[in-house]
Amino acid sequence: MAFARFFVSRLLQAVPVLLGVTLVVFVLIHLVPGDPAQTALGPRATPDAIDALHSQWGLDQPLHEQYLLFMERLLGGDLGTSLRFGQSAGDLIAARLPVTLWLIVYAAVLACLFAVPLALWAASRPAALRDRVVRVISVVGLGVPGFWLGLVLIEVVSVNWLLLPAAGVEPGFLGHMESLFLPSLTIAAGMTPLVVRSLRAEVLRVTESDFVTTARAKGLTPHQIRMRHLLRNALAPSVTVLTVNVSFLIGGTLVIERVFGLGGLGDLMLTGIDARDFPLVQAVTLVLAVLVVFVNVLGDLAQALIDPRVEVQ
Amino acid sequence: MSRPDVADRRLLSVRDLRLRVGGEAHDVVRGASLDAARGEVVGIAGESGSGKSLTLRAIAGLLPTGVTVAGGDIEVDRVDVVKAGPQTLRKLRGATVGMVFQEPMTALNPTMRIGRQIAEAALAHGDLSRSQAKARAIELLERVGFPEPARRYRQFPHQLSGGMRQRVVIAIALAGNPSLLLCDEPTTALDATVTLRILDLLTDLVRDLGIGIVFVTHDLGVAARICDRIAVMYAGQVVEEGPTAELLRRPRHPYTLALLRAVPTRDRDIDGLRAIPGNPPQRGEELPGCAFAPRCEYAEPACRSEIELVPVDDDRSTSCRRHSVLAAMAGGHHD
Amino acid sequence: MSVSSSLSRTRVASWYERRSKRLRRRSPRGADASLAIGLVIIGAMMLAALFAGVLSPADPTRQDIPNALAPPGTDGHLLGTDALGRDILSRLLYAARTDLFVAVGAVLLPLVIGVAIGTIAGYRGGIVDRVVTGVVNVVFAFPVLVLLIALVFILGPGIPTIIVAVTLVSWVSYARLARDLVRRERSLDYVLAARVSGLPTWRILGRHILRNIIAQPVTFAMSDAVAIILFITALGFLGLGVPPPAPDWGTMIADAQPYFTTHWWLAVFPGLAICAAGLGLSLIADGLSQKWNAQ
Repeated sequence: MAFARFFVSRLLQAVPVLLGVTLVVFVLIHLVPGDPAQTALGPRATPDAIDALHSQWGLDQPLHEQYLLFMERLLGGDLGTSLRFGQSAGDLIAARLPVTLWLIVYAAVLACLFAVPLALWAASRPAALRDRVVRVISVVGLGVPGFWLGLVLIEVVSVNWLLLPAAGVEPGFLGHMESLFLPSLTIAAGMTPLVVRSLRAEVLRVTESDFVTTARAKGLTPHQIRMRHLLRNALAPSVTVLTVNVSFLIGGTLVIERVFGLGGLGDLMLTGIDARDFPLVQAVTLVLAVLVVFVNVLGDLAQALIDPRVEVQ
Repeated sequence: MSRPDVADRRLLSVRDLRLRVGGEAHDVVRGASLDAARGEVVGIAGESGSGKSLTLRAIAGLLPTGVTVAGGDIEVDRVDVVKAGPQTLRKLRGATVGMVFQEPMTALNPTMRIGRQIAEAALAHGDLSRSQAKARAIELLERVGFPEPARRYRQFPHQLSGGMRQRVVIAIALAGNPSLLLCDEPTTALDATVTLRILDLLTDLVRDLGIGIVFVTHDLGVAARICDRIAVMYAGQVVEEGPTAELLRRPRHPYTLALLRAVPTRDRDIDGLRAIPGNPPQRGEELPGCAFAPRCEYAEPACRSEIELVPVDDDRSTSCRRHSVLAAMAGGHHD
Repeated sequence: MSVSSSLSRTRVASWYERRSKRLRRRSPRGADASLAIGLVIIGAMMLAALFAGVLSPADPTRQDIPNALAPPGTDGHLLGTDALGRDILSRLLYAARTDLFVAVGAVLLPLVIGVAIGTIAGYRGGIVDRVVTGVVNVVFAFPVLVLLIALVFILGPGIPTIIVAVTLVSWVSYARLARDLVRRERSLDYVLAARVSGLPTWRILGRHILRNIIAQPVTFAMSDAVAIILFITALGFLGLGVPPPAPDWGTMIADAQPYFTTHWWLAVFPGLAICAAGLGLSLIADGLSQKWNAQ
């Protein structure tokens, strides 16, 4: 089937990028000024401890051997061992991944709930008052730092109004919905201006297409034109807009997790940084990059399902 | 200009149409008049910018945003298009007037199967069931020249060649059984052999279905092949109108003559081609009298005061006050 | 008369299309207003940063524990003092100096490097292009802030580190943009004409191609600057920013976090400063991109 073939070829295309990603993550530790083992263990480390770390990380071997070793472990599912926790980095990540994924999806959904109506509303009357209002909102919103907005929201909504929890994650689906609402809202607020802008342009482009004139010439009602012709054609570029912004989204969760004390991947990475835990930082970086590549593949697949032309290219 | 012999077959009447862009005081189309009847192909010829495409779109009530009717009447099958509300217009489109566009690639929805795009047009007006609409779409695909129409029904526009796409656009236009087909440069984006086949298809449709066609083109060769009558437009006005053969053989307007001289033919090599001196008028330029006068070798001072489309010979009209000079000239006999 | 004959063989956009384009070009609505307001905001902030020494009522690092957490309007402290009794207004002004300076470097360096690499890749094509495109795709796979944080952590704290880290992460956007633009431009007739006439490559690139494509990367740089300001302050907030005691808006907010409920001014003023810088840059970017779209 054509779709299966497309899926496989798109996965194959991701392989060189993934290889490049592992190379970058591998190189990170060699960018540390001086001896990374010394840096990690601190000034009072014994030479024996440093040597042990050298051989554990493979630093005593030639560079290409080190990379092969790194890849060998990686393919075997070994993301390294955390210095701070003395535990497999993979296990640590697996334990914290759900919160981060929750946050990403929640924020993306909220961002869509804001951005899609705003973009459609603005595009329905280009250059009219509503269009300019939306533009001002997105221009202003773009410059607001998420971590600060998060603090303000905690102060106003949680502390003053006593409405939602200020920190931590409550168990259960509803608990997640409630306790992750403010953090997701904060991330969505940063993402919405970006999405609104591109979405408005795409909707406008589709609205002005010739096939819409054809549809009008058929004598279809405006509602029929919107549902049958505009929607699907505007959907494909919208998916692209969302996947392009997923990198931004993940970066956002990192900081916001710290603001709300959520203990996800971002929090884990920052803990690793505080402890100068190189393997842990490398592992989290790698996982987040793989996540971006994965979302992009998914985005392309959605694209292929929506737009019959994609498969051919 | 009204022809009594076709009065009962009359489909379209455009009178003194004026179209305005934005809020500007100046009109793009300045008093164009046109008639079309069943079983007849009427061409509108002219350079880009002459207002021919806008005139065509006005007939279907499909003017681009920002362009408005500033005056005149359009009557299609006894419906006043200018005064019609959105509901009336919507019923008119598809059911009375079908439209064929210049770019068959962009005129089709890229994400919808071609069969559905045709069926949808059939469903918009008739009381068809879904399966009847599908049958009608397949029948139309066959009518416009698709072999294996049932299989083609499921294809997407990007899987077709330019000529086949244009056939789909024609099938869509025909789906609501219109009596008038508006064609906006339908062959401009196609190459020569495909153009011929599409023109043959349109001719067949006029013969078999008895519909009328208004055919906009900048290509006099194409117009000569398909049109029964031609209206030549310049700077937003119809400057000459008449039966194709007569008009091309003995033009009664210097602009038509100039257009013909700019066309390469078998007898005339490239050196014989003559470009029209000067440029078409700029927007906003005040144009009292004949708009072509500044570029015209026959112009006299009176040409710059006022003009009017007047009948000449049988069944023809021209806006040139010096048409008798053209007629008397030996050079007026073209080719 | 042959059928293939035609009056104009090239398809010309119909009249009203050309016209509506011209209409849009004439009045990119609000573009000039955006640009002007943005420039005024950023200009004022730049001046304030430049003359921080003159404008500051106090030394931004001088601690005054007895007068700690003084509310805004207290004698000599227009915007109050922080937990260590340092004057907030003075700290804001000096922080503007650090943050805006870092931002300028972190925008210009990737712009220059990215456009240079992208231009060469786009013009040379072949293996060079494939390598550059590959590297660009790999860097794009990382979430910007994640890679940035990892790099700053690895390279160690400090202003140069931040600028280098931002450059390593964000040159790719410019490289991709410049590469695509140059590839399109390279096949245009005027470039072919210049090549045929034997102009040296660097002249063609500098004189002809770069001049024609540069507007778009510069416009992008302005919108990128908004993100850069947010990234820099986020680094400060996470404790990876400019090392103390040099003030920085992000660090000020991080330090203020425990006092938010009781002493709001500690966190609100630096936050507003970031918002103002972000808004100014965002307005400039908006104005520029509208002008660009209109052309």
